[in-house]
Amino acid sequence: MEQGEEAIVRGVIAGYAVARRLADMGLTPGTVVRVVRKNALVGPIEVEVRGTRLLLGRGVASKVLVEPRMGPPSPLGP
Amino acid sequence: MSGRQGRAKRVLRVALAGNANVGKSALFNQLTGLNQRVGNWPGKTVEKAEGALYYKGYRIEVLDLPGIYSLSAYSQEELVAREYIAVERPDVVIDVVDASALERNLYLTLQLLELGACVVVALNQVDFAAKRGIRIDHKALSDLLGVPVVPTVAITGKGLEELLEVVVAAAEGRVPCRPGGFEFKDDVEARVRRLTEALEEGLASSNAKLDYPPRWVAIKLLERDPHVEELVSSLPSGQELLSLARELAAELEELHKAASPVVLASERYAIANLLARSVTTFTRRPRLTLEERLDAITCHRVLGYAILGLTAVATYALIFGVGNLISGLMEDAFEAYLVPWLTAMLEPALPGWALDLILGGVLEGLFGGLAIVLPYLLPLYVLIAVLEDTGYLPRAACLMDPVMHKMGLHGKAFIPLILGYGCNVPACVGCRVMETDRERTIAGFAAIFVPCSARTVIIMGLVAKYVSIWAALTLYAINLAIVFTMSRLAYEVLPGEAVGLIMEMPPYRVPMLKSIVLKTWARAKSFMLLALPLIVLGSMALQVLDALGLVWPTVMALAPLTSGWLLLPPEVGFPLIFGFLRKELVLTLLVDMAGGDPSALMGPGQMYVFAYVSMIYVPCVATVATLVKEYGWARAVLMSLASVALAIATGGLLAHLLAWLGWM
Repeated sequence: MEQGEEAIVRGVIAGYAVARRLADMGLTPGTVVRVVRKNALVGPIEVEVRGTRLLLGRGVASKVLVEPRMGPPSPLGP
Repeated sequence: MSGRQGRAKRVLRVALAGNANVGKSALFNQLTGLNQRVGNWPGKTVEKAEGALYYKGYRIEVLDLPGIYSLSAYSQEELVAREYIAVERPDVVIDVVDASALERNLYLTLQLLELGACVVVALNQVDFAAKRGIRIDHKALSDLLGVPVVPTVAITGKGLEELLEVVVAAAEGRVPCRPGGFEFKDDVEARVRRLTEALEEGLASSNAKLDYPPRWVAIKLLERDPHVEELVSSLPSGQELLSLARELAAELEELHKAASPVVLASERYAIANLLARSVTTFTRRPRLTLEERLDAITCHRVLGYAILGLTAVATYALIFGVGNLISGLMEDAFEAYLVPWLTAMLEPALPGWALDLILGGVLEGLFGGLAIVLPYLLPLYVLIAVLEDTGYLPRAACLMDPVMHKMGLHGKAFIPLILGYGCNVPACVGCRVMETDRERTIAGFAAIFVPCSARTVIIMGLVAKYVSIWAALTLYAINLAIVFTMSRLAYEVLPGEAVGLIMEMPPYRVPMLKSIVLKTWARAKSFMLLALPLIVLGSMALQVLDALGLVWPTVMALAPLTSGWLLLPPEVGFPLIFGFLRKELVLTLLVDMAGGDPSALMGPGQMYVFAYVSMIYVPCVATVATLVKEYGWARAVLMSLASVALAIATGGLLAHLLAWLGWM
């Protein structure tokens, strides 16, 4: 996913705590996510979801499966 | 309950709930002013802020619950909040909602309603929202939710009078505030109902009672909430209920192709989304251009780190500049006035040993606490409050996240660890920024190895001076490796799931002076009340041991360790023991013992080993006191023992290595 792109959340591949936390913060299937900032290859990703901005560590982001408006599903992370 | 304000008829208990960054603290401060105290929830490292105010004949006790996004079992904060609401049953829960982020805030509101609380919504920061072009129809929202909604601007106090009116009205039952909860979509709702009925039957037939409403329990069971599962398993028909819940949850997962907690979160968000959209109008497209431009700099791959570095240096400089100044002044005043005065006062009246106990023990301890730690803690608390309120902290966490990950932590841990270079006490308290208990413990354990300014004094005053500056620098490098390793070790050893960085990026805001002052005052007060007595007791204990003539025998008893294993002159046991009080004492006592010149006592290799051991072994008593406060006695003792063990084990290895190399 690149900076400025939008995508739709398809699912989360993680344990209870992380899946729950991500869902609580708004990253549920069907939600639109916009990548606000994606620095270097290792820093966290800043996304906008449901009107607020979240910072997701790379490890966490790679557990979120999204489908870009155009194209097949892929992880939110690198 | 006859208050100071005349005849207070009754007491009203109000809890403040809401996300972080919505102005909840501002509201709390407005309501309670200086009438507040900050402590911990018993047995937990979650901050508890309480206060009171008098309004229309009521004494209103306000409890500021921690900022939370949900009532799941994700973090201690959430558990504390939901338990408080269900078990203690406050009269009213004021749900502070950020008007600029309605949908996400309503997610929590819906859960508060599910929990059966009496809710009054404070729709806060309406001014900020209006500037961004967001207008909320609060009457419509109130109709839809079934609870009162009062627009407020907490930082200016606007709307507070009305809020209090409504809160009192709700408590008195004149205004509805407990609508019960919302219906989910058909297939989810059907299962929730089925489980709720099963629960109600189960409870009725066995005459059991639960603190939580049955529907809430049903929803949480479907979400596979571990705490609720445990709660239910202890009921008479618990096992059947649990297997029914699991069956229904599996059905939902099959239908929706997602884990059941996610399914229910989605459903709830769907309701929140609908509610938010029905009551929000945009007067213009919301844009945060200023902020996005700022963030382009603060999170920039090069500039961002530069700014962070500068901020860290500035923070460090400010804390230690101001701290040193105040500490120095206090120290001078202490030596020049207090000690002679007290000595003169007490000498005629008390026997020698009592004098020593008071001056050496109590006073030394008090002095240690007040003049050493407080002058650094106060500016630190102020700066933390400023960084919190401006919204810069998340940006710093973002930049440091990858490094922290290597240590088994994440971005937020950067701040407490950096603070450790000044003093371990605020570093340990600062570990509260980590969300889970496990993460906090890892961070706390790493923090105690960070060389505080006192340890720097030893390294500089001994190794840099008598051996070489390069040797001193290698000590810092080794230290960094140890911090990393210990953190990683804790990460591997402690049970639980690792949680990566998931953090809200709040908008930048101008910090309010009142909020900063109040936060600082409350935190400083709570430190003084808990840590100070412990520090004094520690001092007194050592003084007593000395008076009883137990110190030197102990030093000699340790000779096999200090001399045999660490290859140091056995007398160094003395500064090492007293170094527990204040690490600086390690150097001053050593120099005293050596008649002014440590090189008369030890060779360069020995100095290196000595400094190394001082750097790693047990944290000072103030830090241990803080560890006790933050983590409880068991973990505090364990961490301290671990550091001693590490210091001795690796110190000895180092000593023998240097001896073998002929550098002792």
